Amino acid sequence: MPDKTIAQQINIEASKKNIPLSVFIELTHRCNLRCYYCYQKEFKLTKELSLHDWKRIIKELAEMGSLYITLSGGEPLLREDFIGIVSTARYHNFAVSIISNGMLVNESIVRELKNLGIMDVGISLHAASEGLHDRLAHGPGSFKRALYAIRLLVKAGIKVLIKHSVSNTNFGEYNKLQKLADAEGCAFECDSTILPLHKGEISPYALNHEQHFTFLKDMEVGSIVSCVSNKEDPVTLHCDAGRSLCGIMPDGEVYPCIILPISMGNISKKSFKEIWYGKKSTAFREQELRLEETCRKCEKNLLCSRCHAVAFLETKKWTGKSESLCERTAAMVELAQSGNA
Amino acid sequence: MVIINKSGKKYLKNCVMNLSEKTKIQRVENVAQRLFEEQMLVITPKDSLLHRFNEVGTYIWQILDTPKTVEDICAEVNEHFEDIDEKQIFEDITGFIAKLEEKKLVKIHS
Ligand code: SF4
Repeated sequence: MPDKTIAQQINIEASKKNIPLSVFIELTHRCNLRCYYCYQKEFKLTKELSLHDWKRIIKELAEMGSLYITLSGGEPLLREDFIGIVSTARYHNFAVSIISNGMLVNESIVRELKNLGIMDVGISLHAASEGLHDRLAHGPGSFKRALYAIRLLVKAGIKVLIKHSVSNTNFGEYNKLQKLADAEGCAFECDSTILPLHKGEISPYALNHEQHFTFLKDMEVGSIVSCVSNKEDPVTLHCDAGRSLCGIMPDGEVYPCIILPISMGNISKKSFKEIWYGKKSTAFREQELRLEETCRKCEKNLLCSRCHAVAFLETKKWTGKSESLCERTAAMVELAQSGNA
Repeated sequence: MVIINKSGKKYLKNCVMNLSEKTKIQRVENVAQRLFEEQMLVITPKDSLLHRFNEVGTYIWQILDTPKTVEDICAEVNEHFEDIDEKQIFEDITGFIAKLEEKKLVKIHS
C-alpha cells in the first residue's frame, strides 16, 4: 500500500480529534437551472444567512482549525454578496473551492476570483454535448455558458474541475467528458452516487448492475478500497462526516455532511463550537461507531464504499444498508473476482 | 552546501538562487494556510498540494508575515529556540527557504 499523503494523514488526525478540516457550505437553494436529478425541493428564496452571519461563522471555523471551504448551492453565484463571502474566506486563509453551473461566470467575476487566490472552481456538466446537457439541465444555452465559464477560468490560470454525476440517463458521457476536460486543460471528477429525489426511495436515475460494473471498470477504481483489514468493522463503512467533515445549509443548519440532513444545531442561534461539541454532535459520532449488523456482518463490506447519506435518504435510516449501494458493491465484487480490479 | 566568500559573506550553493545573509525573503500573497495542532499547514497555489511544516518551519513562516532578511530570520530563530546549533542554523534556514522558493511560496529579493 502506498504511503499516505500529507493530506490523508492530516485528515485522519482531524477526524480523530473532531476538527472540522473541510466545510461544505450551501449558500442558497436558489438556482437558475433545474437539473434532472437535483434533490432540492425549494429553488426559491428560503431563509438565507446574511454576509454578516457568514463573516462570523467563517472566522470561527478558522479558529477551530478548518482549512478547506467549498461554496455551493443551488447556484452560489446568485447571491449578490458572493464575492464578499469568498473574500472573507480568503481573508481567513481558507483554501476555497466553488461549485457552480457556470451560468453567471463572467470576466469581472473571474478577475476577482483570481485576485482572491481561490483554490479551484468545479463546473457541473451532465454531458459532453450541448443537446443532452441542455436537456438534462432544463436550460437552453447552459452548455455553451458552462464552456464559456470553463475557458475564462482556465485562461485566468484558475484550476477548473469538470464535475459529472454518472446516471442511467447520461451513461457513457464520462468517457467523452474526460476527453473534453483534457482538451480544455481541466481536471475531471465523476461520481456514480445519485441521491434520491424523494426520501425513502432509490433515485430513478441510479445505475443498474451492468452500468456500475462498466463504470467501475472504466474508471479502474477496483483497487481503491483494498486498504481495509478488519471485516467486522471495516473503515470503508465509516466516513469523516461529523468529524473532519461538516456541512452548513443556507439557513444555518449544521449537518455532519452537506448531503446528510441530520441537524446538529443551527448556527444562527448558537456558536459553531457549541454545536460541534454539543450533545447532538456527540451522539451522532457515538452512533456512527455502531452501524447495523447488516452492514457490519455483510460478506461484501470490505469492498463497499458505504455512505450514511445515501442510506438515510433511501431508507430514512442512516446506520443501515441501502439497495443502491449494495448494487454498486455487488458490481465491485464481480469486478474484483473477474480479475479486473 | 554553504560557502563563505573572502569578505566573509555566506552563500548557499546549489540553491535556485544564491542566498546571502542580506537576501530579503517575502511570503507570496494568497496562500491558503492554517495552524493545525501547532504546525503550519500550507497549500501550494500551483498544485493545491498540502504541506506541513515542523516547529522551526512554522515559526519561520509566521515571522515572514513581514519581509525579512536571512540574517534577521536566523537571529530570530536563534533567539526563539533553545538548543539550536548556531553553526548549522544558516544552512538549515537557507535550505528551508530554498524549498519555499522552489514551491513558489516566497519571493527572494537579492
Ligand atoms: S450497504 Fe450493502 S453492500 Fe454495503 S456493507 Fe451494507 S449491506 Fe453490505
